Amino acid sequence: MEILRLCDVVRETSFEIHRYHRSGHLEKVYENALAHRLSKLGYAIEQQYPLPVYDEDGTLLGDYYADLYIEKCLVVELKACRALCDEHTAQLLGYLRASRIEHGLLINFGAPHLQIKKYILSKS
Amino acid sequence: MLSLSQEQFEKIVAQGLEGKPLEICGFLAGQTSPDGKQVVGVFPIESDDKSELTYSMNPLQQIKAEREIRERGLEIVGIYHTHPATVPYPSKTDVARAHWGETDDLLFPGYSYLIVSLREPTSPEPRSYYINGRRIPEDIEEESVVIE
Repeated sequence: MEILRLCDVVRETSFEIHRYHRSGHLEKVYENALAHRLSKLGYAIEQQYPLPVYDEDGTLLGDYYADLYIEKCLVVELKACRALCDEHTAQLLGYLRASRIEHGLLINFGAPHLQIKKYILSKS
Repeated sequence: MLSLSQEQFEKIVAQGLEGKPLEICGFLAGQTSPDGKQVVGVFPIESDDKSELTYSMNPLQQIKAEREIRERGLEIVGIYHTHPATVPYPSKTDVARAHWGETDDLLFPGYSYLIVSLREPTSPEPRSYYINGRRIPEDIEEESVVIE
């Protein structure tokens, strides 16, 4: 239930940012805005959080960088494009698989209407 | 089958008549069983469109309603809106907005779309549909509405 409340806060904050700044900025602007506003609300935010990816034998292959990692339980991937597509979903699911984090949000600030998708990668 | 009480239906109609000539909207919350969907609560949400022909849920009110529904142990079973002056059948905009942007992905798969026509204000006409795709009428599936 806590994760759902956290997602609600991120969604509400994203809508407020989109209402104020609208679409048209670079992705980084929205990342900074969301990090700034959520930090002001008291949430622990890490930007460009590295998520290591390992091969089957444990060899470190490289890092993904999640745009935001919130309260050590929620990965947020931000976009500023005309519309979300399957590649964006695949990217977020890749983050979740690599990090073994269950919950992720994909948020697109680039469209006239804010787009948010929530993903849960079940451990089972 | 979508079941709602007379009181719940009257709540939607009252919201619709108050909002007329603009469309109004909201969530239907309740429970789903093999027999259909039983509405337990009606959650009005302001339409940002302020239009006689379309509706668009206010996102902040939408999140608030979703939270309340979740915390009451219910699920969203449908979305209702009114057609103030036209037939209770999904418009092209209704169908388009049931999808993710321009994709064929449904925004709310499995939800009932209840439309209440108020073209005759003294005899409001409810109809409910599943919107399964973009083709009208092929992808529009009507379900029965029971008001008791």
